[in-house]
Amino acid sequence: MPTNSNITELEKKTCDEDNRRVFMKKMAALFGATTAAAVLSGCSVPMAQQFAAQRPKPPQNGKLFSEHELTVLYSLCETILPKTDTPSGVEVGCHEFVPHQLQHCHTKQQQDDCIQIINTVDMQANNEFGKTFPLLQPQQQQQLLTKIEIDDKSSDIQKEQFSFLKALIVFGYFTSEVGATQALNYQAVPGSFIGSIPANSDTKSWGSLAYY
Amino acid sequence: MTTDLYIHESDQVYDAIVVGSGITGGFAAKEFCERGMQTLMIERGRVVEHRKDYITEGKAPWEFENRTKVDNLLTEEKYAVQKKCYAFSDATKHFFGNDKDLPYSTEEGTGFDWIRANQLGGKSLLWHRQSYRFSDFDFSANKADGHGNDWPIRYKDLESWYSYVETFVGISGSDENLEQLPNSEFLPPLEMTAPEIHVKQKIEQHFPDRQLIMGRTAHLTKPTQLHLEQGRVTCQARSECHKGCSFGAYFSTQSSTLPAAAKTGNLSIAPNSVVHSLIYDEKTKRVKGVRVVDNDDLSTREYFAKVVFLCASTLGSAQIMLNTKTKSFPNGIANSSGVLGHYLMDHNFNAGAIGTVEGFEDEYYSGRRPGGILVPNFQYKPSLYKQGYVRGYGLAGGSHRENWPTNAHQPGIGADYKTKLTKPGRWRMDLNAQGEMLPRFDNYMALHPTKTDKWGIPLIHIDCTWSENEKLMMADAEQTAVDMLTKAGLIEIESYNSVDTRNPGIAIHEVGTARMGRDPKDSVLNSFNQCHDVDNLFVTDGASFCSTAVQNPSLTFMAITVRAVDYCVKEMKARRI
Repeated sequence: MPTNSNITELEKKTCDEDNRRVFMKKMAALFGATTAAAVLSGCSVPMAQQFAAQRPKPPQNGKLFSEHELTVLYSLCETILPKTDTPSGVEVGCHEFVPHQLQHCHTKQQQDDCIQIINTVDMQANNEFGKTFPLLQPQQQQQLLTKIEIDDKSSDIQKEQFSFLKALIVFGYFTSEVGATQALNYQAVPGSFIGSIPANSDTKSWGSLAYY
Repeated sequence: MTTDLYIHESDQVYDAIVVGSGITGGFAAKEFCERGMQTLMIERGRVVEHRKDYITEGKAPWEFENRTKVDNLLTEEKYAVQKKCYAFSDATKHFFGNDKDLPYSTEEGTGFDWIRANQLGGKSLLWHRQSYRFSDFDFSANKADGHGNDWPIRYKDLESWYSYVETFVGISGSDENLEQLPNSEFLPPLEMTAPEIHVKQKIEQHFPDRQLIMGRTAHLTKPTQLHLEQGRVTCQARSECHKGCSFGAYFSTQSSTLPAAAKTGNLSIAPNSVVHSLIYDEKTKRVKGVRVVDNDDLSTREYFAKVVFLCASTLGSAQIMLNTKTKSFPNGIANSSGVLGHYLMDHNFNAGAIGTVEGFEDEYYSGRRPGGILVPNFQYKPSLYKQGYVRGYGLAGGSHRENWPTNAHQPGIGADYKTKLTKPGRWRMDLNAQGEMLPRFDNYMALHPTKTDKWGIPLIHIDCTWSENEKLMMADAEQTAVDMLTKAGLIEIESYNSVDTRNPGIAIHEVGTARMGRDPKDSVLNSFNQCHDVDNLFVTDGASFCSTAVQNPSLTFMAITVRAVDYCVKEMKARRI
């Protein structure tokens, strides 16, 4: 079992990206500035464990997700679509897109499914690693999600819920400007349709369609 | 367009009133105007100006708050039916009718999905642009197998009119010399992909009775001088047609017929004018004009003309006629036969299959093709019918390389998964049945006995269901699509049949409510779309159809309309109307 190295990992993840300040703010809102700072400074194992021991709370403000669930979602976006030669899911705002899109364009059932799978992920993180999902090492995060996705031990419902949430994150990514124009090859005005052009392993997919 | 194009009140007796401004109404108005007739086009909805009012054109998905999805509350409140249309999105919703304002009812246990586009240009802004001639087999089908009444026209009656409208509209396609699907006047066809060419060869080799051809669309692949003069240029392969196209690359009222009609100086347009009913003169046995309720303030007014063309859509035109109750026509004008509102049909788009074409990893395409491939109907005469049911279907489809929306559901977490999503995946190809629906008296629309809409017009009440013939056809079509893809060497084939879950109407090819015919006892219109009972009243939209055939109907709406106007003007000049 990993020990306190997860703190360092979390610290790494949050120190260099401007937009990750959002994450800190959320943690501060959730646990108080002192606790959050202690956790994020990487010098307080007990504090981190206290953080991990927190139970998810239902939101009090009419929003879909609690602050804690949002932090799990944030880490999910980062784990599923990490930064490569193109920006990460978080960098294009998938963690903000998902709650917005669910609230506005999806059914109550789909919203509930997402809340449930986020809590399932976090519960499994706690069960297996004794820590909340955001505090796991990236490798552990990936391992845990892969398990939910393909392991026989996860139920069909869990698999479906996870697949839906993952696809929604992916949708948010590739319909963003960065996702459509940098990760993919976007043609605003193709000019004409050509039925056959050469392709190889480096060829990128065409960017977003006009509408979905 | 000049500002005095649009009128509000008018005492003028026009030569012709055209009710509706869609594909049919636009052509009717143009043809009257070009024959020197003072023409009033009446549109129930708002004005949509070419280019200026295409408010979402060119906007990318990320420029929409919900990435082109429509907000739940808005959908629930206004678009409960419209949302079922494949083209409905946040980028196009302003061209769809508001279901809350446009109620209709259906018989208990049945459903009919009625897609609306109540604005200048109507559904010509939203159509799928597929353009096919009917053949003589289609015009003879009812007579040949005894379902429905015989069309009073044959292919030769429409042939030159097809050519005329195609030249004006611009239809891309290829000469195939098929007896069941006559050639049009073609611009160059859209291109096929390499796997489509491969599957075409395989299918034609294994099924000598079938062809796989490029679909025929009203897109300018190579505009002629005539199109350039209309202000239209080459299709840019954006496939964002339903937002409106400033290139005028696909045919719409706005891009094509309306400017042509306006250019004559003979056109006036009364927008926001909901036609309540027709004004009928019992003495002369003619219609004098129309009664209109203002779309916005509900005030009433009348417009007058020597002839009236109803081009208000299959359900809309029949509604106006049924709501015109006079002493001589207590059950609706020109309804001495009692068939007005009956024989409602749609196309049956409810079965198909999709599979993977192996290989071709070094092949891709560029641009978004605004159309697909077609396997024309291969059961187009009784000797070719399958056992158990009559008539046939075409199979429309196409190929694509899988992209992130499908691959998102593949297992994977992290960098490799992300990279995989940015690469083109498997080649997939589908075939989807476009089946014929039989004309049946039992499938009908009527006026609701008590309920009215906000303009005080009785609601349309619809009772329309798939018959056993349509169900058997879809079961066969599903299996046939699987067989064809299998024989063509595709793998990972999946199929569907949705005939038990999807209502008629959603193919948006509704036709048949005021059918043509030789016998005034069983039809509303004669062979020139003129009412048997009222000489100066014509219906030239889908209401006039005797059968659906399998082809998309719009091109035939156009040809039949132009032919009817030509006849009408000749009759007026000869003082027979």
